[in-house]
Amino acid sequence: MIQFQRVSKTYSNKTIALTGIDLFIEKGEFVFLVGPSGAGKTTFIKLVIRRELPTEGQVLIGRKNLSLMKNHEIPIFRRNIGVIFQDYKLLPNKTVFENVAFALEVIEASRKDVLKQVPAVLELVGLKDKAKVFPTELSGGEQQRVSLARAIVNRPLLLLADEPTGNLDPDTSWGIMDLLMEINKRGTTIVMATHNKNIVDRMRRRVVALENGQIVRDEQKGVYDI
Amino acid sequence: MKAKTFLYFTKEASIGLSRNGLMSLAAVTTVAFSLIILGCFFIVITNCIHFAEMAKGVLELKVYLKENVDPAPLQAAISEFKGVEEVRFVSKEEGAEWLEKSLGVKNLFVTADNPLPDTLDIRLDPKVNVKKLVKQLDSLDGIDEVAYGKTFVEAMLIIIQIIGVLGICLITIIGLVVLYIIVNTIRLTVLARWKEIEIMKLVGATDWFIRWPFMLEGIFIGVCGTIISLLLLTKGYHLLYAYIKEAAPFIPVLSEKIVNYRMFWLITMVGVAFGAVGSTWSIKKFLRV
Ligand SMILES: Nc1ncnc2c1ncn2[C@@H]1O[C@H](COP(=O)(O)OP(=O)(O)OP(=O)(O)O)[C@@H](O)[C@H]1O
Ligand SMILES: [Mg+2]
Repeated sequence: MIQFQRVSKTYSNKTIALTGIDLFIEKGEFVFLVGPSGAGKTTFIKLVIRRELPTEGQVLIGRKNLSLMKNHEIPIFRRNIGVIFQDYKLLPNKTVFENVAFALEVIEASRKDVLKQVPAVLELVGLKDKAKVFPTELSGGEQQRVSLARAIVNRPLLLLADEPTGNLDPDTSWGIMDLLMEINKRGTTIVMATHNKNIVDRMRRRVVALENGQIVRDEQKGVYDI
Repeated sequence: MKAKTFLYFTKEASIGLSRNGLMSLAAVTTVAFSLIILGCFFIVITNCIHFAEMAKGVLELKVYLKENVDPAPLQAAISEFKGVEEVRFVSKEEGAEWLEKSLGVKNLFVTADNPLPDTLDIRLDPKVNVKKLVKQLDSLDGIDEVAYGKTFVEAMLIIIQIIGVLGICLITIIGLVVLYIIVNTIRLTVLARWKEIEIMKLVGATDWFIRWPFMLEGIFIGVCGTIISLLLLTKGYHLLYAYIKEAAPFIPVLSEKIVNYRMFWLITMVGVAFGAVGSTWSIKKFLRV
C-alpha cells in the first residue's frame, strides 16, 4: 500500500526532515508512527498525500509513483486517502456539517448521500449536536473529531491520523481508538502518528519509531519506547 | 457540469460573500469607485472626440468658378459628393456686396469691373475626408480653384486625429489601472482565504471545483460595482448635461442616450470581466498545493 524507497526530504529552508527512509506498509495494516517532536512524522504524512515531494528516493502509494504523478491526477488520488490533520485544517467559513460534507461534495456525491452519511459519521464521533456550529466555536478536541469525521466520511482505503488523540481526554481517546480499530477491521489501512504511550502500549500493533528523520525501530506488536 | 454542481457553486459563492461580509463590501466599494473614475474619463474623452468631430463641420470649402460657367449643374453634382452637407451659390455681385459690407465702404467696384469670381460655398459634414473631396472637386470642369485654408484645415484634421488616438490611449491606460485595482482588491478577499484553498486541495478538490465559487464571487462583486457606478454615472451625466445646456448651450455635448448606451457596455464588460479575471488570477498561486 505504502512504499518508501530511500526517501529523503529537505525543506526549502535546508531543514532536513527525513533521511534514507525505507518502509513498506501492507494493505490493511495498522501502524503507529512514534518519535519525539520534530522527528519527521508529519513530514512522512505530507509525503504520502503528496503535499510535499521527496528530495531523494521514491514514494509509491498502491502502484503510483508520486514523483511522476501529473497535476490533474492529484485530486482524484487524494480522495482515496482520509487525513486527520494535526492542526485539523477545518474550513473556518463552514459549519461542522459543511466541513464534513465537503469531502463528499468534491466527489459530487448526491444530496441524498450527503444528508445520510454526514449525520451518521458525526454521530460516530459524538458531535451530532454540534452540526450547525463553526469551527472557531469548538474546543480543540471537538475540532479534532470533526477532522476525523471528514477523513472517514467517504470510506477511504487509507487513513492517515496525525495525533488524532492529541487533545482528547483518556475516555474520548479510547472511544476514538475503538472507532479506528473498527474502520481498520473493515479493511482500511491506518497510519497513526502519536505521542500517546498508553494507547501504543495497550494496542500492541506495529510501531515505527522515527528520530532525527530516520527510522530507529520497526517492530510488529511493538511498544512506545524500549 | 451538472446543474446540481453549478447550484452548489452558486451557493458556495453566496456563502463565501456573506460570511466575508465586510471584505466583500469593501471590494464592491473599491470596484464601484474605480469604475466611476473610468466612466468619468470616458465621458470627458468621448465628448472631446465628439467636439473635435463637430469642429470639422464648421470648416468650409470655397470653389471659385471660371467665368460664365452655369453654376446649377455643378452645384447639383457637388451636392452628391460624400461629405458635403450643403452647397450654396454666391454670385460675384453678392460677393461684392459682402465685401463692401465687411470693409465698410460703398460702391467699391463702380469705377472698375468686379474682379470677384462666382463662388460655391460648401458646408462640410463632420465625417468628411477632405483630401478626397478636394481631389474630386479639382477634376470637375468649370472650376478655377478650390480654396480652403489648407494649412488650417489640415492642422485641424491632425489635431482631431490626435485627440482620437490620445483618447483611446488614455482610456486603455485608465482601463489597465482599473484592472490592477480590481484584481488587487479581489486578491485581498482571496488572500485572507488561501488556507481554505489549501485545505480544499488536500481533501481532493480539483482546481476548477475551487475556482468556480471564487470566480462567481468575483463576478458578483463586479456586477455590484457595475450597478452602483452606472447609477451614479448616469445620474451625474444627467445633471452635467442639463447644466451645460443651460449655461453654455453652444458647446456640443453628446446626448445622454448615446453616452449612457456606450458607457453601459464599457462599464458592464469591464466590471464583470475584471471581476472574473481578478478572482481567477488571485487564486492561481494558491492552487499549487
Ligand atoms: N514547511 C516546513 N518548512 C521547513 N521546515 C519544516 C516544515 N515543516 C516541518 N519542518 C521541519 O521539519 C522537521 C520535522 O517536522 P515534522 O513536522 O515532520 O515533525 P513531527 O514529527 O511531526 O513533530 P511533532 O511531533 O511536533 O508534530 C522539523 O525540524 C521541522 O522544523
Ligand atoms: Mg507533527
